[in-house]
Amino acid sequence: MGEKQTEVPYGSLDLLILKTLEGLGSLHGWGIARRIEQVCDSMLQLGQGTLYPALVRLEQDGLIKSKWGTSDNGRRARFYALTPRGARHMRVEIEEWVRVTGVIAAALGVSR
Amino acid sequence: MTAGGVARRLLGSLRRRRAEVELEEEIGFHLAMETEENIRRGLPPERARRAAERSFGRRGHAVDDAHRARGLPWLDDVAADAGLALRTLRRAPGFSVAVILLVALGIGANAAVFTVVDGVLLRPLPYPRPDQLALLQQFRAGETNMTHDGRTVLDLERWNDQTQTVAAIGPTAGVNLVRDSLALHVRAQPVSRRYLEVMGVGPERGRGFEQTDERAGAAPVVILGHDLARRIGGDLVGQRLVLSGVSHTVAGVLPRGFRMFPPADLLIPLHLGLEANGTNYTVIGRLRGGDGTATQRLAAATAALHQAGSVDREIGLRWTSLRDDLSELRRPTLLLLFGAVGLVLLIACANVAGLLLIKAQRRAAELAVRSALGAGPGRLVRQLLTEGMVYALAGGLVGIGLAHVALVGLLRLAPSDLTDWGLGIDGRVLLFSLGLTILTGVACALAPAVRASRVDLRQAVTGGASGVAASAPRSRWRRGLLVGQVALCTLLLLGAGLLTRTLVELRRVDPGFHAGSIVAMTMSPDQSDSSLQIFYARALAEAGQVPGVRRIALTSGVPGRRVLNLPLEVPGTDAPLRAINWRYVSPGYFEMLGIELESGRFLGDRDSAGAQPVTVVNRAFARLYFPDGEPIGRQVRIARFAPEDADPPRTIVGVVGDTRDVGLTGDPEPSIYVAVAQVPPGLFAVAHRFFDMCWLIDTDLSPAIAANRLGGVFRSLQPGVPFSEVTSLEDVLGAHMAGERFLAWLLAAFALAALCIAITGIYGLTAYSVSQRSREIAIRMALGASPGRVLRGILGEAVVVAVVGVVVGLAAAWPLGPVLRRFLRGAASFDPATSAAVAAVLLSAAVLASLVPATRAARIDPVTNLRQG
Repeated sequence: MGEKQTEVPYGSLDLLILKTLEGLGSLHGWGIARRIEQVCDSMLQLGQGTLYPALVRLEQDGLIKSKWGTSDNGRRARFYALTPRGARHMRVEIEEWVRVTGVIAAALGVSR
Repeated sequence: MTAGGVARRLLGSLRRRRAEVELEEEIGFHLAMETEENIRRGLPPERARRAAERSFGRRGHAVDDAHRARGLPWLDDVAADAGLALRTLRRAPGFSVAVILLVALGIGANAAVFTVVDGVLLRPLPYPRPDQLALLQQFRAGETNMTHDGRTVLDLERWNDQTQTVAAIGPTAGVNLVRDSLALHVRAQPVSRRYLEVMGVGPERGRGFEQTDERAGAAPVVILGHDLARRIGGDLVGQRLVLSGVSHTVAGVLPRGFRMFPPADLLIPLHLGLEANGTNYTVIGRLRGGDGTATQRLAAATAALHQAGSVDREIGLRWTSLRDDLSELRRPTLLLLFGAVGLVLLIACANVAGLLLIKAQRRAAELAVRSALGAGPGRLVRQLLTEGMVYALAGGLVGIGLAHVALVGLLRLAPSDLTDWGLGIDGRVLLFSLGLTILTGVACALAPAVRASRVDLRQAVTGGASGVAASAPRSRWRRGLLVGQVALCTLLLLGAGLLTRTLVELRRVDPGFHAGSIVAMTMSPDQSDSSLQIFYARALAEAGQVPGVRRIALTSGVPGRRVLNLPLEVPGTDAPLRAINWRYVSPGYFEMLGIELESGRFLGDRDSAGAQPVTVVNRAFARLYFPDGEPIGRQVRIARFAPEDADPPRTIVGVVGDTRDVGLTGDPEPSIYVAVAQVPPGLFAVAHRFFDMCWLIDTDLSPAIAANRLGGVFRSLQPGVPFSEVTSLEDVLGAHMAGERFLAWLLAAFALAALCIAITGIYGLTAYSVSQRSREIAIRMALGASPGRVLRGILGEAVVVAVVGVVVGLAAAWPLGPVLRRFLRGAASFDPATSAAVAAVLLSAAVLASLVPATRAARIDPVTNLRQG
């Protein structure tokens, strides 16, 4: 964890969680954190603690669901999974993300 | 946020503890996994754990953020506020008890009165589709008369079809019910066979009345009310019991909870053919076709009745909804009480608001600090509102308890027609009380909350309690609230004063007889033959020997109550046939009651069965039939009777003073009296079909003891006849004032409560003002003000508040005068003496209430006080 790392941009954490769950199916909190760090190649700094409020929020909004189960090493853990509504929401949000970042990139004169 | 989202979050707020435990477990799992991962990467265990914790970040933040995401933040704030309020409530128990009691008083009184208002005026009657039920009224040129004679009622049977069902109801009669060793006096209600169909119920067991039951000579049957059937016990359908000395078969039992109209214990068939005489029938209908159809049909039916000559052409008919008819009498009374009790709550609210203002002021520094630490004005207002609500809810809870007690007292004072409704505190009343409690909470906390939102930070924090002028604008609010309390209190005191005056005037009305020490005991004689004469003669003789009984007399109806009226002819005058009050009395009746003798003589022992048939008439009768002539020696006779009931023509032998039998106001009604020994058996039957006979006992014994002693004598002569009622004649007369007394007592109680609240308010204001201004007072005294001057200054403050309040109250009473007028029985709604008395009471109350704190102020020692500062 060096100084070069960037904070996860506001609003993108939700999207990363949803995408992770879409790819891997049911997963516990630590697994999600590991996965996000892996795919971001440790370029993004994920305060792992911020993951849990986000999970609670997403579950409250009905985008993900959770149940208690047993992890690979035999511990009790809460597993999260994407709901159909969450999947729809994610697709819309990704389109939006692409559109907005595209517009901003264009405005900043950065070609992609 | 969607509704579902709100619901999930609400659940989230409520399930906070469980969610937190789960989250802790989840975080524990996370850290364990991360630590293992770090160990696998080659870190020693201790460093691996620390690294895991570092990359997780602050655990507390995660938990808090998660909770905020999970629940409704404002709900948690409110919960925190309520917790804070509960803590402050516990910290100042005296203050809290005062506030809670004030609110409880207001809510309790309102809940009790609302119970009556709801039961009598608002709640639908306990019958299916009660809106379809209506009573048929006769009216002639402005005056209404609900009752009908038999000819109308016979024709009404033909009105029944799909759009309406009509039934006739006879007069309720007291009868003796005997089964085995059980002897009860019960109310019997004669009804025509469609009565249950009209009311919309069927018998729970057995059958209803059929056409055959109504025929002359049919085997007597009875339908028992549920309560009566349970009291007798056993499955009674098909069984026999004795009513008025005649064996009846129980045809059916009514379902539980069905309330007969009019209130009664059992139903018997109405024999229309036999009872065509006398206007004693009520007609009730279920009108299914709506108002238009009913009116149309009524017009046609009235025309038919006119044509057949059953009803005079000047008489019209109309339907009045049963609900209106039942509540009409008490509607104004109840609405007035509801208004008055609302004023009490308003006064209590103003008082509590004043107390909360004082409290908020004491906490000005705390509120300022909270505000400086970032609590927005909205947050502070919410805190004060929550606090007000906590007080209100606690008060409301205590208030419901108070309402239970108040309702018992209220119903004890209430006229009997109000107690017949089976009133009790139920869900509707609780809901009303809850709404009222919430309103009260908001109303009480509003003034302090508004003030708090405008708190001046710097002054509040730095000035503290030492600021001399700081309290000026705030005490203006409190003074305003206090003026309002005094004004409302003036209104209530005025109302109570005027009604009390009316009650006093009513008590002064001469009923025409001395109720004095007389106990009245009523009975429904079963027999109507000569054996009744024998029983009467023996009972009078033996009861006269009972210790404690000075004199005894009997009559066909309780003096001071409605009695039987019979159509009377006066041969030799052209006066039209009219119904005249008719009583039989035993010798000594007039002397015992102290009824005046105008001319001629009273009835006495010489008026025996064999002697010349005679009668005594009252002054109103003499004035009606013989305005110029001499009534003594003239004859009267009962008209329109079947031969077996025939009464001989009677000679008038005396004129006596009028007695008031139907009320204390209005003109006395014409009446005649006959000697009991001269009553033919048939007339006994007529007299006691509707009215119980009455024993009058001049005694110092209590009614209960007198009944006990005489009951033994009577039972030895004739077993199985219970007294139906035992009361003092004073109470009989009192019943005429029941409505006025109810209103006067309740208004007096409300006014007293209001006065107490206002006094504590004035005391509170003055005491607080003295404690706030002790420094200023000390300076003044140091500069030479005398204690007397300080005392006068403080008292003056309270008196000014009271004077302004009284003036505002009197001014407000002016337009309200007409509302009261109808309750005052002709007395003026503005009475200078009452107004002056009310003003005097309030001013002296204000002086008394502020005397203690004012004396304390005058005793301030300037040296000590200023040194402490």
